[in-house]
Amino acid sequence: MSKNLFNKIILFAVVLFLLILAPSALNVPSQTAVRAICTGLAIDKGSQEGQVTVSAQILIPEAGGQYTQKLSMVSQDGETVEDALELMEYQVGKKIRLAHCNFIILGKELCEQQNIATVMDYFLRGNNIANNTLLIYSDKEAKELLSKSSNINTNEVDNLQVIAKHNEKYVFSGNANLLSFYHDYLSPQRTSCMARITIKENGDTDSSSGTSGSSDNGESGGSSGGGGGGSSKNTQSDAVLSDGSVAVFYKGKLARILTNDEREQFNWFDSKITGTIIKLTGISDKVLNNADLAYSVTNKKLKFDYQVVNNIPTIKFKVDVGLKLEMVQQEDETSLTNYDNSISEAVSNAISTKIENDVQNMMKIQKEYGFDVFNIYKPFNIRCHSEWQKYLKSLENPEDYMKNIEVFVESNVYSAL
Amino acid sequence: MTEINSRQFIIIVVFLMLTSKLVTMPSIVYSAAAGDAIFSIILNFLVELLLIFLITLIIIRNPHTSLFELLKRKLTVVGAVIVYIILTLYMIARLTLCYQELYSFFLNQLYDEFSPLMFAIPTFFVTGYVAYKGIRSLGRSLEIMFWFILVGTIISMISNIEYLQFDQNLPYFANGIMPVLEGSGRSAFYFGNSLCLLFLVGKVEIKPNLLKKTILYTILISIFIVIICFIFYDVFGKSMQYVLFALSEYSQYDPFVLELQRLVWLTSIIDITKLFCSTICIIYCIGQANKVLFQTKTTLLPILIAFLLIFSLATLLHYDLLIMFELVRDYLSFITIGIIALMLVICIYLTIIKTPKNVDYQEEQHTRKRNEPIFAKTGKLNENTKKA
Repeated sequence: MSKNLFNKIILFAVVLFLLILAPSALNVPSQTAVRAICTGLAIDKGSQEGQVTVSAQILIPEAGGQYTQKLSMVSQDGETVEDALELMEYQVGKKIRLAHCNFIILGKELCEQQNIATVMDYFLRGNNIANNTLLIYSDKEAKELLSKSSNINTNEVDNLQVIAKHNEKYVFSGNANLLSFYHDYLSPQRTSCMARITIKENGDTDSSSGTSGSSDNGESGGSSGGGGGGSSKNTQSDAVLSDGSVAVFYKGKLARILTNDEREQFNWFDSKITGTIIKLTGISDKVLNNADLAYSVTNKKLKFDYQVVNNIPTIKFKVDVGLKLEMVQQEDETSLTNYDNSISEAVSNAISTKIENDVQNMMKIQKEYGFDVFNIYKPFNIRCHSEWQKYLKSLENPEDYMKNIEVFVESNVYSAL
Repeated sequence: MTEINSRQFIIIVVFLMLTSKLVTMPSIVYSAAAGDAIFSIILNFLVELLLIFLITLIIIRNPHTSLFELLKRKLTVVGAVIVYIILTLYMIARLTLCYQELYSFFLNQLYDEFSPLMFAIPTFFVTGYVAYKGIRSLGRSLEIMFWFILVGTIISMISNIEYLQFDQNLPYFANGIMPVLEGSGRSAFYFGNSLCLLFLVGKVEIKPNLLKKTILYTILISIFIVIICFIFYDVFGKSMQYVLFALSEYSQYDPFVLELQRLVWLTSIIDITKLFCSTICIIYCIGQANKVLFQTKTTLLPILIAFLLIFSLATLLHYDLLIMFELVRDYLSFITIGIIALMLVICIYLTIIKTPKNVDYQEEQHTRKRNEPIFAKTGKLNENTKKA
């Protein structure tokens, strides 16, 4: 084929396709005219049995005006999430798109009664939502938290994300997004955690300045305040509140809410989390007399030894803790002038006892509910595979492997400058 | 007549290996072999390396002979045609997957709605034109894109390295060797891409260290891909089977990275470039095969036919990548094992049996005669003749 003929064919094809496609392309309405952007979702148990209520925070893209004015809330019941979203589209008259969905809030009733892994299956398989969408647990109706978060301020929407992300990094050290939830759900331990966020009702004292930070340990306050952008933002409505508690899910259902104190007990098994405060009361030694002390954990070195002895899984847990003295209080303050950061035997014993009690209490909670927050299954399965498999076979229900696990704690406390 | 130099040849080899395995392959292997998926990939690479070694050896030993002429000489015309038909069918299946991966990528990562026709027309023009222009244009284009893709892939991998858990898939071989073999079998379809290299026989400029360099770069890129897959598996773990577009999903793993968006764009561009280049390579091969089978003068008509065929196949499969996935996992991979085994035998046969020297000479004479009119067209020869 000559080069000229080839060029003519190509030119003819280009002109032909331009003639066919250009008029139809001009007739197509703009993408923003037929779509609504979902920035957050809330899922609750439906009004009827077997149904779910899906609420969406929707932004309809239009030129001009403020971002907050365009946010609206839509709720819809449906047999499944997919059904509800489809019905919602009829309600809104636009296609609802989830590509910009930042978080999914799950309501208490839904989490307690249904396996949320099956409820959210649509999100995982449908590719129109990012797999790293944050999951948040609300101990009220998820819809309520979603509506309050949008009513407060636009920035508060981001704050919800920031709080959840902060919790991921500093509270329970692990991801709480869609993909990681399924990762844990499909793993042998079947346990996953997510941040518990609730609402501080309007009218509560000091709601104007503290916002979410008023309840947390200070770090959360810093992060949420940073996203705020104005001291008057919470004077007229409610605030999003995170108190450091964590919702633990086992086999897709809510198993237990770990309070702030319990969560700190769990953190002994996590080397990434430092900065927690240990409070000791009634300490007496050569200098102190019935004093109250507060130490911050600056360094934490953990060593685990996993063994199955006589068909009983045993963990020998050794922890080296570097502590920094943060506060000393006692009635006779004159003796405190020379008190330095060194750790006396009395303090060391008190902290060792606390660690021992915390770890045993943590194991007690896990044995009671059957969940395995730190995925203990994995190291046992790797390091003593045959003995561990033998142990699992000896159980009536292999999923109850936590109930016989013994932990022996050895702690070494030192002063960190 | 040589069309590409040895450096371009090596880049094409490396590109064919890299482009076909980092988009959807990790997911399909994991769904079959779970935690042992990495060993399935290593096993498949060993076979692919052997195939590349043999094909390179054939290329070196037959610098002036095309594949069809070589096959015709060794296996008769019927044998050569059968081999070409088998290769064409494999390439069409491979291209359909590539085409669907590309379309699904656009649909899932970039556009909310995307008409298959609107996708097909520009894709046809871009891929068809480059393939029509020949392997020289393709080789030069890949030379430019190679480093961009390699560096971009490395940068993308660093982003979420903090989530790496080395013990994620331990213990290995907990269920014996069978999951490894199953994973290997079900993903074999992705490892037949190097069969494209057969169409480069007689088109590569031969240099003394070509074989050594090709094998070295192939091993390096295999190690690179294995490391990337290892990172994927150790980050995603059990949820790997839900991650279709491995690299793009990987960059979205951390919400803070998602806020930045830049990395997501980078991985999207890399994935699209990889898929486009892979598509072009395969279209070129189909064009070459069909040119011989249908005895046409240029590759324009064969490319057009191939494209229409693939467009029809993709339409029949409703442009659904999951349907194609099931086809690949359950049927096509096992058929590919047979094709690879057959091609290995043929390659060994072509390498072991030496070509008589006089045949090579005759072939060289034939090529020289064939080239004469081309030189005549340029006018240089005519001027020289006039001077003489």
